[in-house]
Amino acid sequence: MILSIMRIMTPIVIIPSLFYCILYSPVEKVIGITYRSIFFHIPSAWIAVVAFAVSLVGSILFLTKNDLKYDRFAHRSVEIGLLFSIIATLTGSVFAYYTWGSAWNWDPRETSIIILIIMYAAYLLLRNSISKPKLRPRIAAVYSIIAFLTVPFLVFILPRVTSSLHPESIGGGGLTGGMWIGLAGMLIGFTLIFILLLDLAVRIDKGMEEKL
Amino acid sequence: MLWSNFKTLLVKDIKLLFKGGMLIGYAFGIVVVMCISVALPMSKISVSEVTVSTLIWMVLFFSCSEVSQRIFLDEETKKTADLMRQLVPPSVIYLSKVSANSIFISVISLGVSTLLVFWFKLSLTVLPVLFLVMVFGSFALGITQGIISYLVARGAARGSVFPIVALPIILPVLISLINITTQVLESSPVSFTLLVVVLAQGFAVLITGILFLPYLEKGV
Repeated sequence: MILSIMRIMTPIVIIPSLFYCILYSPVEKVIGITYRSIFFHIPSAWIAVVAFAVSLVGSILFLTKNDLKYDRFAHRSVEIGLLFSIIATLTGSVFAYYTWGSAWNWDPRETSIIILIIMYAAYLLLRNSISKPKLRPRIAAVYSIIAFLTVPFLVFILPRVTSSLHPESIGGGGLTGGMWIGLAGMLIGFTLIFILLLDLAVRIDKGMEEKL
Repeated sequence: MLWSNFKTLLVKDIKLLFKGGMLIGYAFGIVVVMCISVALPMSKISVSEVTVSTLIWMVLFFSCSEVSQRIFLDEETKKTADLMRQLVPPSVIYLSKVSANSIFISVISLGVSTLLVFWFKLSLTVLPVLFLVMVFGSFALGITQGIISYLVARGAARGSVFPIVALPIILPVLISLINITTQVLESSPVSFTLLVVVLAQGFAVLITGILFLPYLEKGV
């Protein structure tokens, strides 16, 4: 029932938000319309962190309840999180290229997201390299828990203890009211897309397992 | 009972690490890095403190990873691991092995810090801080690499996967340690916040290991 409502809500939220962000959102005084990439960049980064957090919860639930359903959530959530991390990196690079003059500046946040991508790619690699099928989800779950322990450091601590080019770190980043509306719409839209994608991936997994 | 099991395993692993000539091998690797860092300035190629710190911690990382793999994978290949798991809880195995690893790496790093002080003509007053950084860093490296080795060895995954899986988890700790060591070598004020971060991650991984490793054996 809730998922059916979400399926209807997603296009209702995302399509007007997209039109607003691309065509009508206010123009920034210093960097002009270039800033509009943040309407994709911030929601993608947000979804990446949410997806990794979902994977953490799924892993803990799988280990404690021993139900493969939670492992499917944890596994697929990492894959979706990786996809959104890559989107966040690409949109961030576009913003960096037009604003800071170079697509890659080894800024702490850029470094952090690359480490996150490598770490969760390593999760998939480890998962596929385990030769004992019964142990595969268990080992992957413990790895996912350990991997998430570094997320607070990479997302919250590292960018604050080192100097960064990102607007909030250098005292800027003042979004005006109109910009916030677009960003809020995109954040809700991306979150709905994430939930629907995760549900779809888990249902496909379940169907495949039943077929086998 | 658990304490005596822990002690027995710890003594066994320490004997394995210190008897096998591994200490000499790693000490040699570190001396080579130090010689390079001294030789390059002689040939008028300037080597910054960041480069030296990075080299030192990378050598320690790979030494630690080799040691971790050895003490965990050896048990699996000798087929003693299953018996050990039946007799001792996984958290005790993990704790004893990471303790052995951390002690081994700490011994190497204490040697490294003494050499650094003499080669860089640092004031002797920085030695306690350098010791502290090296010991805390070894502890965090040992614990994190230990849990990854446990997972890789338990899953009978290919050994070559280990550095790829371990490096990204270790990177935040390594970045912090390189920053702190650079500050010590430059004789600038040391950021104790980063040191706390290193310790916090070490403890977080240790507690996660103790809490969740027993679940690996359930229903298998």
